[in-house]
Amino acid sequence: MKKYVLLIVLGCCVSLARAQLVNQAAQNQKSQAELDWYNCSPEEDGVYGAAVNKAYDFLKGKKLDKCPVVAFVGFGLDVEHEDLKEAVWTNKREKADGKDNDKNGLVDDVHGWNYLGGKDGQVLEIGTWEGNREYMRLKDKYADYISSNGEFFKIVNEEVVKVDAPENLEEFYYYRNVVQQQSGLARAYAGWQYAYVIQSFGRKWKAEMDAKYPGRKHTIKDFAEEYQGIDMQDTLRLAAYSMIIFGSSVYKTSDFEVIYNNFVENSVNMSKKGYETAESTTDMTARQRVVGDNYLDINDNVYGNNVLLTSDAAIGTMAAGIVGGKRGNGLGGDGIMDQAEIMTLRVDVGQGNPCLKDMALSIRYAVDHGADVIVLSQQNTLYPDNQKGWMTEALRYAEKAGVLVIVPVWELLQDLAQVTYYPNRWMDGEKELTNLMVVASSDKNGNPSMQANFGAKEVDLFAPGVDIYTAYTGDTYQTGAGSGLATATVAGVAALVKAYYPELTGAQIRDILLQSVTSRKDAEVEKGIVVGNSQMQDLYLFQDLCLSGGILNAYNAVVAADKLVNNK
Amino acid sequence: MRYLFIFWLVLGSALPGIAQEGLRLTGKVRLLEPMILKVTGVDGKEVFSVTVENNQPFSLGPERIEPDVYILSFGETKQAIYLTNREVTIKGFYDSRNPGSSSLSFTGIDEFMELSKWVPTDLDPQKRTVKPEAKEQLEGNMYSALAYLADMTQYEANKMVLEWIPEKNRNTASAKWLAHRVDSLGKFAVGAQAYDFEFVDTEGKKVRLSDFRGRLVLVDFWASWCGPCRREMKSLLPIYEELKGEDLEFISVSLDNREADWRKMLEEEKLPWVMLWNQEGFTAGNEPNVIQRAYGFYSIPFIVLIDKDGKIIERGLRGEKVKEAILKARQGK
Repeated sequence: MKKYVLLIVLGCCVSLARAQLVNQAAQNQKSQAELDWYNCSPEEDGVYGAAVNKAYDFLKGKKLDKCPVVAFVGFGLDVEHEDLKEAVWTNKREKADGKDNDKNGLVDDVHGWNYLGGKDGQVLEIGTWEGNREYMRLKDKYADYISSNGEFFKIVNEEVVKVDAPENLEEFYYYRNVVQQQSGLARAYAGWQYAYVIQSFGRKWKAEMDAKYPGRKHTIKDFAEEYQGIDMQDTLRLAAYSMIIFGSSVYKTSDFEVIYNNFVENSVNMSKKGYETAESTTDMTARQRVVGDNYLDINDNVYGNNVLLTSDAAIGTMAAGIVGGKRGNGLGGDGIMDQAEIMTLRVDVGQGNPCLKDMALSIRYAVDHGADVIVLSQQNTLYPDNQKGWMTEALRYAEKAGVLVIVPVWELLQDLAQVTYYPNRWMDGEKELTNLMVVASSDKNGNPSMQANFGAKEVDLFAPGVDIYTAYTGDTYQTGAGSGLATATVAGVAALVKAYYPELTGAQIRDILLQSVTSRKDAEVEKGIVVGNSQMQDLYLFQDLCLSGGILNAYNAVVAADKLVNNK
Repeated sequence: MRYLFIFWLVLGSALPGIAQEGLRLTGKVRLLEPMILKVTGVDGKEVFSVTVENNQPFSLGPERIEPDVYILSFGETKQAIYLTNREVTIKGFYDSRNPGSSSLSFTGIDEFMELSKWVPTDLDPQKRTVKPEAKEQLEGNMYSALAYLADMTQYEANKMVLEWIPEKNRNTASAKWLAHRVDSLGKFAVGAQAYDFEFVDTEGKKVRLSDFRGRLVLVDFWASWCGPCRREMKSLLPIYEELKGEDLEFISVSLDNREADWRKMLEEEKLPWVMLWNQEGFTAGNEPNVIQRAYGFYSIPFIVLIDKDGKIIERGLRGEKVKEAILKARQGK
């Protein structure tokens, strides 16, 4: 077998990519423990897979009762993929004829829906961050305020002018303390406004010193002596003073003139340029142009199109391959539950955060169209209050319908006990959500992904998601890593349980998966963490990284499910 | 990012390499938008091309070709590839919006893969050279195809491969390309007459390289924004102090686009040798400028040593090598 691969290397010029062909002849001789190793088990193959093959041995002779539907609320999908096409969900009440046959408002939603599409078949490929979306929503109201010690100022004609407090103080502080933290645009804008503060004080101080000591060449020491005894309560003054002192260390000079010219006179220009660069490189209107809906209005719910082959479909196809890749056909990896039907609801372009409206509508679509398992593409730290309810209600809706929802952690080394991400089981302050699973990825050796977020209560379990060989767009196969792939492994096993024990609800399946892990409770493992602003490694007990203290195990899960169903 | 993907590892079902009456290119690929698939010779002559639609089979040829290296273009992505008169199949996914996440697999390119084994992997084109063992391992214009794929910028490296090509194969596109390359590299190879540049000095006076005939001349090309250049200049200073004499001249040629940047640097570094400024700057648009083409360099710092008769003795000198080269040149007199 001669197999050759085209590897494309981006050249220095953006539009022109240089390619390089690589021989990958050795690929096929690898064993399953090296490729789709999530099927393997520690005792039989020596890798910490999810023991799927072993589960099938147990299920031999038992009846498959249901073809479970797994909905991926995230990326596109290559629905024509040779190893996947039999596992693609088809909406039986819809036809690809330009009409809304099933009267659900969406035209030709045959295999799912692309919420990031336009009526003309265009596809949105530009993502935005929630923080920046909130900045756009609130900037006219709050971005111009500078607050100091309970007082409010604005820049008027380059001068700092005291103004009345904003009407809705609570919202103002949300903007200042939350949005500004999470929005590059908001920070750049605030920097620009602050530059006026430095300029205004700096000019005043220079004029004062020039008048007091005519003809003197001021040094930074002169400046400090003149102004150091400032009122600590006056935060604006203090900030301007500190910036000028800071400037002397940046320019490594004690010459006040140099600092004044470079820092005080130049600061407005520089930070204005910084903001303009941020603004011009952040396309906040793409959704408006391509999709045309109002993402802040949940009732504006007929938008998008049915184009699922997108650039990010590569990501969706990799995850789908883990669930639905045809077993035993020698192509790619063996999916965990190839009788499953995979529904694709595209809300994510692979960059930025999906809009909560798209996710909430997708969850409802999936539940209404028979999904048993829903996989979301990401958590986020910012769920704005005016939209968060849509998500909670959608998750409760899924819970009520017995549908399991799985979401991956980010690979940002954070302890989720300290940084709150949504969705989580406690997000509406009511009774814990029983159908929501948060998953991180582990490798062949049973070690957690070094980068993954973790949480003794917040993360449910780890699942194979590193070095996974699976399907890729265009009837090809590749190896990938990421907690997104770990969620696919969990979704596959959940679907397997559902297929043979369809009476189990999402909440019951979650319980089973948690109780049936390959326990690694007392294993001491290396884990990357973040302390302050720096990354480091530390030893952790596995049980301190996730609730179950272990790694997904399909065999244990089907045995437990069998016991639960048949011993009722 | 959560998703760390490796974007290759693809397989294709292999077809036995049956010799055919011509080159055929067939396949089916997933596309986000229609794409032009094209095969051209290294001389720019098009063999064939077709507009490919998403998931629609395509077939080009058969077209009788001279087995040689050709350029295969997928939209904006280009791949040099050795093709013969047989069928090549392509399948996979070409992502026009994000070419790096494409995934394409080929069959019928065995000669090319064989050839690729000999392509040097050194990242620096100045240092890349084909292993001498490659001689006798390939045949005909596969050697010039190899030189094309290797993309080496050293004269000797190219000349060696050219000499391996039998006379009867010298007429192919890649052989012609290589002969031309050897020819033009020869112009600034060691031993060649150095291009006689003329730049302005700090007083605005025009200075030519040939003004320094009779002395060894070290020419250093640099720019104020180039950190490594500035470090290199600092390390030239002790060498200059140690070796300076009637028979030796140092010249630093700035490729700054703006005179002010050049003058600011002169103030800061205060170096004691001849300082010149190339008013043309670093590049002419996206192309190398006159001096880069004349001396055959595409990155700075670039240092060359020129003998008393204006011939190039050493190129691409850095650090201690500068001193060694000067001492060697002095001994040789």
